[in-house]
Amino acid sequence: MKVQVNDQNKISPNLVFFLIHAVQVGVGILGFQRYIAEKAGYDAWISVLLAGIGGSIIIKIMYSMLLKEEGDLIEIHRTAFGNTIGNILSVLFLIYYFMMALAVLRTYIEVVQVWMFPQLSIFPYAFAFLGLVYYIVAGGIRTVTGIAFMGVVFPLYLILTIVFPLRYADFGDLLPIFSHAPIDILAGVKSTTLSYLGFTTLLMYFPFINDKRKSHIWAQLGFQFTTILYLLVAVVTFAFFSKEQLATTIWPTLTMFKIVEMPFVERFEYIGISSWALIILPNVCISVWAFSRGLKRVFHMQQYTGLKISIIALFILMLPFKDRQAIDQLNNYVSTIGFYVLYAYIPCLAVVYHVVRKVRDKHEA
Amino acid sequence: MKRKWLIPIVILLLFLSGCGNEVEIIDDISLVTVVGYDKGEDGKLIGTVSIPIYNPDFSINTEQYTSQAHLINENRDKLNAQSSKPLVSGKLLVALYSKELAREGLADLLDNLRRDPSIAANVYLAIVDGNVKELMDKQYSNVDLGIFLSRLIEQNIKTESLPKTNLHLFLNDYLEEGKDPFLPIIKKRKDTVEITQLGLFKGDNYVEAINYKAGFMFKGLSGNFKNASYTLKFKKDAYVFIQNLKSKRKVEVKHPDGRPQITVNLNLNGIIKEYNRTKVTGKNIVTDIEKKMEKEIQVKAEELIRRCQELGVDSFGIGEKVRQHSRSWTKEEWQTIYPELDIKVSVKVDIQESGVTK
Amino acid sequence: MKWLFGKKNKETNVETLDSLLKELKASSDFIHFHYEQSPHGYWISYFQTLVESKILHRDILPYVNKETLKSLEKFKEVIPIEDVEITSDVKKIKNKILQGYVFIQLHEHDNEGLIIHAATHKNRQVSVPEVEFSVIGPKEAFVESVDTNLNLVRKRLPIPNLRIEEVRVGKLSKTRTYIMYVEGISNEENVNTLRQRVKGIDFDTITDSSFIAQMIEDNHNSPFPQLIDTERPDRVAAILAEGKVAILVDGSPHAIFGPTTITEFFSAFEDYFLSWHIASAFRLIRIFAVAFSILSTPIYVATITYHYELIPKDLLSTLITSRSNIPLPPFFEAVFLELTIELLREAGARLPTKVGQTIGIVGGIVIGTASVEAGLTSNILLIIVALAALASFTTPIYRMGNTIRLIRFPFLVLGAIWGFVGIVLAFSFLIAHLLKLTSLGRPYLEPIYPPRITDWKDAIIRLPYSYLGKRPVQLQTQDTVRFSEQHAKKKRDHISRKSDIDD
Repeated sequence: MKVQVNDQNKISPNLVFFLIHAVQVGVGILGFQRYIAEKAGYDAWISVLLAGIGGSIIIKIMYSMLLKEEGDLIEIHRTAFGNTIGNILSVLFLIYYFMMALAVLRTYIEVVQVWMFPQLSIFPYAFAFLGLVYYIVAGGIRTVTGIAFMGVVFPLYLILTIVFPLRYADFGDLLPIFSHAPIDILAGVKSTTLSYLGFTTLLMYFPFINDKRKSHIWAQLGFQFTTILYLLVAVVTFAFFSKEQLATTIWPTLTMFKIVEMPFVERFEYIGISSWALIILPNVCISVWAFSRGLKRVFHMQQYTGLKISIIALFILMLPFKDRQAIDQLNNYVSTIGFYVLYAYIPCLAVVYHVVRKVRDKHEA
Repeated sequence: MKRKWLIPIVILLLFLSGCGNEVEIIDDISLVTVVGYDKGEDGKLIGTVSIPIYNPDFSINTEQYTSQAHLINENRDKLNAQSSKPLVSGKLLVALYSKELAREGLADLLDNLRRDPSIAANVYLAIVDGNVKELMDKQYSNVDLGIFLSRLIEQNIKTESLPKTNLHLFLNDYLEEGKDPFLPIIKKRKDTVEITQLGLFKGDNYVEAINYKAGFMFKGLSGNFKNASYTLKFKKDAYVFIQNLKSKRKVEVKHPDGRPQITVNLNLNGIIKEYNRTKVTGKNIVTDIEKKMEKEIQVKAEELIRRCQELGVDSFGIGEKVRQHSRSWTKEEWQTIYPELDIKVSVKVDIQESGVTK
Repeated sequence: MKWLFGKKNKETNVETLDSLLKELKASSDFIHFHYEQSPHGYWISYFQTLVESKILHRDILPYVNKETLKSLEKFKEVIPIEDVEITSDVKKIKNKILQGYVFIQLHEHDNEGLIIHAATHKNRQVSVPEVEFSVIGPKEAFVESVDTNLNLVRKRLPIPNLRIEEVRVGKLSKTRTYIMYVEGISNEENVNTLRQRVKGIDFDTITDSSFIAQMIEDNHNSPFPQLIDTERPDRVAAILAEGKVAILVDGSPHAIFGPTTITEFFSAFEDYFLSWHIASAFRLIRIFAVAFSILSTPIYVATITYHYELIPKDLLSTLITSRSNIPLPPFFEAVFLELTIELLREAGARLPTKVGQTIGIVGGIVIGTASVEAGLTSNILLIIVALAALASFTTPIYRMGNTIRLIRFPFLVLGAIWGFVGIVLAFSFLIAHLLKLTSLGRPYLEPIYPPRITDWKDAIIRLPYSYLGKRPVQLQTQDTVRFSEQHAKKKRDHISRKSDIDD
C-alpha cells in the first residue's frame, strides 16, 4: 500500500547519496581497521571491497521491495506477515535503529573522554548534543537531510590529512596479497559490518523521496563512496602501522591523526576529534528520525512524542555504559545484529514479501 | 511558552559542566619538554624532567626535577610535588634513556608514552651515553632544552646524516616482523650535546653502537634519501665533495635453492661541489670518480651488513622484504637463517653535474 | 481589510462635523477661523504645520477672496488646484485634514465643505548612500519620501509590468506601504505571501521599513535577518528584475526585499560594478572575515584553556609570556575585551561623528595599551579581538553584521566549557538553525543546501555576466531566462575572435 506524504516534505533523489553515506560513516571508521586486520590480516582491504559489493546487492534488494510497495518498512512488514506480526517485527527493527544511535553517540563520547577530556561528565554534553538532535529532527526529514549533507561536506577536508601518514607509509606491508584463506577474508567482511551499518534507514525515509526510481543510483553511489573511503583509510592504515602495532591500537584513524603536523597546528587529533561531532550528528539524527517515524507509523502517535521518547531513552540508556568493555560490548551487539539483519533478515524478508505479493496479485487478478 | 523551562536548565548545565573538565590554562601548567630516565637502585627508575620557564622579558630558563620510583607515573606524582604548577606532558619533545636501561629493553618504558593520548607521535627518542640527569642539568643555549635537543636531531635528519626517527617509527620497527629499530646516541660534551653513535636494537634491547659516520650508509641501506653529501678520497690528497646525493634502495629477493638470496641495489646520483686538486685530471674523471665511489660504498655497506648479521640485528628490514615475497615466512626461522645469509650490495653511482666548471 | 476596520467604532467616535472640529481645535496648531476680509466671509480650517503656506496664500486665498459668489461650486472652479472636492463625509474630512488639506465652509455649522490639497512636503534631497557606499556606480540613495523613492525605482525600470501596490499599515500611522514586483517575472506565490503578511500586520505606528521587516519575517526568534534592507534604488531595480519582491515604506529611506539567501548578505552591490575576478575575491574575503570574526576569539579561549598541545612550539613562548601576569582566566579576559569593543562601537554609534571618532581613538589606543600594560589582558588576545571586530564590519548589510557579533558569544561560552568540542557543537547548532530558516518560505541556505549548482554562479563567487543568463532557481520565477546565454557567448566570441594564435 502506498504511503502518502506531503509534497512539501519531499527531498530530491540526489540527496539520498548524502543520507546513505552520512549514516554509514560514524564511529566505525575510527577503529574498523584493527577488527578487520584481526581476522584477515593485511588482506583485509579485500574484505572491505567485498562488503561494498555485498551492501550494493542488499540495497538492490531493498529497492526491489520498496519500489513495489511504494511504502516503507512497516508497510512491507504488514504486507508480508500481516498486521500483528508485521508490527512486532517492525518494532524490533526500530529498536535496532535506536541501538545504532545509542552506540554511535556513546562511543563518540568515549572517544572524547579518552582523548580530550578524561574527566568530562557525560550528562551535560549528552544533554546539549541530544538537544541539538531534538532541534534538528523536529525540523523534519528535510532538516535531517540538510544536516546529513553538511555532515558529509564539511568534514570532507579530513580526507586531506591522509597525506601526512603517507610520508611514513610502506605499501610493501600489504604484500604478499592473498596470504589469508578466503574464510578469513569473509570473517573480515563480518567485522567491517559496524562501519557499513545504518543504510537500512532507507527503509524508513523512502516514501519521502521524489522520483524514487532515480534515487536508486544515488543510493548506490553513496554506498560506493563509503566503500572507497574505507578502502583508502584501510590501505593507508595498513601501510602506516606494522601489524603488531595495529593490533594494539584501539582507534588507528585517530592515532594516524597524531602524525599530522601543520605550521599552525601541531597536534591535529584534537581538531579531528572535535570535527568528528559533525560526522556523528547526522548519524544520530537519521537513526532517531527513523525510530520516531517508525513509532508514529506503528503506534499512530505524534512524531513529536516519538521523538521525545527516543531522546529521553537515549539519555537514560547512556547510563549503564561506563567503561570501555561495556561500550565495546554494545558495539559488538549492534555490529552482530546488523550483520544478520543485512545479510540474513533482509534477503529473507524480500523472498517472503515477493512471494506474498505474487500470490496476492494472482488472487486479485 | 513551552520553552520556559529551557533557560534554567541550560544555566544549570553550564554550572555543572564548568566544574567537570580539567582546565589546563597554558600559563598555569608546567610543560614538560624533555623526560630522561636513569637506572636507579633496586629496580627503581630515576626520572628527570625539564621544564622551560618563560620570563616576561622573553628569555627562557629551564628547570629540572628529579626523583626515584618504580613506575613512571609514580615518578610523575613525586615530581609534581616538587613543582609549583602541575606537570603536563602534552608538549613533550624528547625522551632520553640511559644505555643501561636501553640494554634492558625499552618496551615497558615506551608503553607509557604510547598509552597517553596527550603525547605526540613524533616525539624524538635518544639514548644517552653517560648520565641522563647530568646531561639534562645544563642549559645549552638560550632556548629551552627540549627545543634544543629536538632541533639537534631534526637538523641531523634533514642533512641526511641520521635516518628518520621518532616514537612512531621506533614502535613501528619494533613491532614489525622482520625489522629491528635503532636510536641515535647522544653525549654531553663540555658546552654542547652531540650525536656520537647510532644504537642498534634487537627487539627493544639495545645491542651495539655503530659509529655515527656510518649513519649515511645506514640511512642508504634502510631506505631512500634525498639530499646527502659525501666526501670521497679520489687519489692521494685529492678529495671530491659530492652534494645533493639522492639514493634509491631496492632489495631483490630470490630463492634459487630454497634459501633466500638477497641483493641490495643502491642507486645514487649527485653533483660535484668541490674538488681540491684541479690539476689532477684524467680523461674520464667523472667516470673514475663514480667507479671509485661505487667500490667504496659497496665495501662499506657490505661491511655494515655483515656487522649487523653477526649481531643478529636486522636494522634494514631485510626480513620484512623477504616476508613480503613469501607466504611461509616465520619469525623464528628467519632469526636462525639471517646471520648466515649471503647479502650482496650492488651500487650504482651517477654524477650528473660538476658545477659550472669542467 | 479587517485589520483596518476591526476597531473602527473606537477611533471614529466623532459623528458630526462640529464635534470633529471641536476635537481638532484642542491642538494648538489647528487653525479654524472666520475669514472676513473677503466680500462674503467663510470659515477656513487646517493644520498650520501640515499645510504649505505658499500654496495657501498664493493659490487658494486670493482666488476665493476675489470670487463674488458665495458658493462652494464656484470656489472649486476658481481655485487652480486639481485636488479639490466638495464633501460632507466626516470621516473623509478628518483624514484629509490630517493629511494636510485645507477645509473651507461657508458657514460655521455647515455639514458640507471644500477640501483643498495644500500639503507641505518637507524632504531631504536625494543624497549619496552612506551605509552601502560604493566607490563606483550610482550614488543615489533613498530618502524619507516614498514618492521620491518610487520615482527613483520606476525611472530605472520603465516597463508597464512593474507593479506597485499600496497597502496602508498601522492603526495610527496609516503608513503608506508599497509592494513592488515585476509581473510576469516574479513568482506569484512570493508576492502573495508578502502581500498577506503585510496586510496581516496589526500594529499602531510603523515608523520605518525595518518594523515591517521584523514583523513579516519567517522566524521571529532568529537572530538572522531574513529580508535584506537596502538604501540603493539601483539595487532595488536590479532585484526586481531578478524576480524578487520589494517593499517601500513612506518615511523610511530603506527598502526591504526578499526572498533572499544567506550568501546575498555578504554580497555588496558594488560587486556587480567590479570585474568578476575581483568581485569573487572580495566575496571570499568577506566570507573568510565572517568565519574569522565568529571563531577567532572562541578558538583562542579554547586553545589556551584546554588544548595547549596543539600550539606550535615556536609560538609557545609568545603566548605564555603574554599571559604570564594576567589574573583572569582566558574566558573572562576575552569577554572583558569583547565587551570593551562593543562599548566603543556603541558609544561611537550614539555620539556625533566628530566625538565618535575621538572616542574610537581614545578607546582603541589608550584603553587597549593601558589594559595590556596593566596586565589585565594579553596583547595577543587584544589583537585577535580587534581583528575580529574589524572583520565583522566587512559585512555589507548592517543588520547581518550585528548578528555576527552577537552569535560570537554562544561560541565563546561553549568553547570555554568544552573546548573545541564545544565550538563544533555551537557550529552544529548554527548550521541546524540556518537549515531550518526560510525567507518567504524559500530555503535560506540555498545554494549551499539544497545544493543547486546553477545558483552558485552568483553566490559565494560571481561569474562573468555572460554566464548569468538564468534567474536564480531559488526564486522559482515565472520567466527564468534573463537573456540568451548562447547569444551572449556568440557575441563574446565575436569580439575576441581568433582562429589561431597568430593570424
